Amino acid sequence: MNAINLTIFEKILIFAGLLFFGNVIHIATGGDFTILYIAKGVYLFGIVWLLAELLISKS
Amino acid sequence: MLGFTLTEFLLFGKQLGIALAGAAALWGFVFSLKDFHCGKETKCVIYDWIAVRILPLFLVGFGIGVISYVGLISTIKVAAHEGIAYAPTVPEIAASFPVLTLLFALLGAITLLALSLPSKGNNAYANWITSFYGLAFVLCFFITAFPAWRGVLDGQQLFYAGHGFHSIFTVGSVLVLDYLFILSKRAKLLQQHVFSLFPTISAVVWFGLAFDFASALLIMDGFEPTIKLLFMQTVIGVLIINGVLLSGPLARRMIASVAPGGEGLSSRFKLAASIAGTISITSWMTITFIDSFEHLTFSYTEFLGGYVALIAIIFAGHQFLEWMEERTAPPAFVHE
Repeated sequence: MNAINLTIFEKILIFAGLLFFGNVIHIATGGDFTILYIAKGVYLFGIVWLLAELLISKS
Repeated sequence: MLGFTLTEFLLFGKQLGIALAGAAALWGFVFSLKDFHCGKETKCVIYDWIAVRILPLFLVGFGIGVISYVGLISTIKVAAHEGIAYAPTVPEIAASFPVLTLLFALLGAITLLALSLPSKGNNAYANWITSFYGLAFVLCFFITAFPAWRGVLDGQQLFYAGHGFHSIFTVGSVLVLDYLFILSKRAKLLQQHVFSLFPTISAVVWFGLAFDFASALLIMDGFEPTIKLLFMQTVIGVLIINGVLLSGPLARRMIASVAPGGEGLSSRFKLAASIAGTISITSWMTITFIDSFEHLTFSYTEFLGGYVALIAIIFAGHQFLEWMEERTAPPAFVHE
């Protein structure tokens, strides 16, 4: 079976998705919303990366 | 019952219906616009055909949105609301009605005009529908961006807007994408044209979710550690990871398979793609639905059980629709 090839943007989003799961465990065990903010921040960073990729590919 | 209220059902119907209509208008506009850039090639006909076929999806969304809105106007005056920190209050929702009624009336008027025009298969209609979709998208955008009016343009009002209009680019666009995927089952020629737009639609979905996350920054202290929030964060994690796989490796393989000389897809791959597509639709529908109800009394396990059951039901329905479409005769231009 072929290995799954992911772009950097896709790897960033996978990491953000995993952070959402980490956030659920963190809050369920009495934690605060820090990981949620980090997860959203990582996601938004991924979108900025995607935007940069799109702009570079158009130029 | 179980924390569901009629008003919240109607708000959900309005949001989902207009998000679907707005997304159908947006992508109908994009497909119908593409024919202006391709001279007199055959594919212009294909883009126009796809654009016109999106109209029923727009009508379904518009119908759900209008019925829900009319129901909302009729019932909201007697509705009780327990005042969630950042959910719109009843007075705020009611304050948006004068503007929303005007926007719905305009949307209804241009929709009636679109339906009353004769010869829906000719070039003049295909050209006209570009303007219709463009205007319909703008109206749907403002309807979803204005779910309530606080009387002042502050951070919370901007949160309402961002949390509202993103549905056109997320759940609405995912539904349109899936509709186009099923529609393209009729012919490889259609798949070539529909699949080529997958990366663009996927990027718009990702940007749509970013709008929602960015708007949530305006209410940093608005989260409460509820079971509902934990479940929704779980589904968001699923839809992001699944969405990456679907819009990335799986979509690239599908695009390559319909390119000239491309290898066909194995049944195992098709099954994986169908499961990923089903998880995507179910996840977007689930968070839109759950987000509309503030006082659900389900446990985390019950939420999760319902979510998995819904994935199984939608998967079965999806397989049936694909099977039906594969047996539908392709449009005449496929044989020309």
